[in-house]
Amino acid sequence: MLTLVSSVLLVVFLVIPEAIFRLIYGFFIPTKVWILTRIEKAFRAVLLTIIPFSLALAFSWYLPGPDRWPFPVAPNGIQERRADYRLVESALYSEAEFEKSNARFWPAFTRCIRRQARLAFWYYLLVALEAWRFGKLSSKYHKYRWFADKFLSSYISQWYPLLTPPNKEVQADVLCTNETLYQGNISQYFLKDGELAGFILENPKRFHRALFHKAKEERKEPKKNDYWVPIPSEHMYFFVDKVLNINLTYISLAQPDLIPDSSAVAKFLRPEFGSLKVSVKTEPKTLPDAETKRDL
Amino acid sequence: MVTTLSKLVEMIDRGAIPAWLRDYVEANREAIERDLREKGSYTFRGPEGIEINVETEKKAVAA
Repeated sequence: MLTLVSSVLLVVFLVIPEAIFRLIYGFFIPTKVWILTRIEKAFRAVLLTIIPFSLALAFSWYLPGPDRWPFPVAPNGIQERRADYRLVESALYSEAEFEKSNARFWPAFTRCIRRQARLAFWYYLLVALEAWRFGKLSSKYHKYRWFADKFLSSYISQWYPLLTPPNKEVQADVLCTNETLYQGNISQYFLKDGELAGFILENPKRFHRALFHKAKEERKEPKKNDYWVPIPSEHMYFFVDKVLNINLTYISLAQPDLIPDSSAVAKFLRPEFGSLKVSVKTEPKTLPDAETKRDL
Repeated sequence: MVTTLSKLVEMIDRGAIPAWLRDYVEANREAIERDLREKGSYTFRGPEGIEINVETEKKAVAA
């Protein structure tokens, strides 16, 4: 009987809170991006629940209000609580004790259940709050970099920051194993055990490589842009095992006044306009030292 | 993961291109090509007084 009770307590105080945490946290960062071993999962469950559990225990024992609500119990003193638990524990352990205290057992058992339910209520609420706070911080990992490096770096798949950077569009040039080159914006991606399994390109285009090289051989000075052909598909799925490499370009959407790095601009323009010397400057009155020059 | 999140964020931010530049190139591709061919340079004008001047290698060497 005690084994059964222990199992129930394990589920109520470790498994369910961990599930609540994952559910709430998942609103901010998809839980699939986590890459954890079994030991790390167990360690995380314990680590995440220590503080909410300790607080919930303190709340339901000592804090006026939460020490009575929900599921009030009378009498609710320390002595009565200890006596109830002692009686229930000994009755669950021994059949003889159960028979002896049968009349007192069920009221004591009901009071214990109500106390545990009150503790679980506050515990789950605090776990949910913790998950919400942790999720908020994690979703702004680009701002809270110390937090991100200490608590997220080891456990989050690298594909998450690479393919979903905040306020940026991710444009990809995808070279497949059959040497076909595609271009488009990555709209969705799929992970399996933290590794990229596939992704979807939005508004995909295919590069006519053979025609481009033929035109080059014929010295026609072909323009690369003329050889990109739109594919009549809004969303195109790529299996990663058919992909040789992905060239990513990040387009900043939220910062119109972003001063781009000159080398980033040169790399962005090179496929279409060839090698260029790039200098970036802002109006002298606003930012006099912002001029940057680099030979490329 | 070998690197840290902050290093990845730095790398992504450093290589990011503003959306206006992408849109500008798409809208003015032919004019850019023509100017680069004829004058050897082109200036992109963005918001907040940002100017990006590009020069072909030939012009840069000549200068």
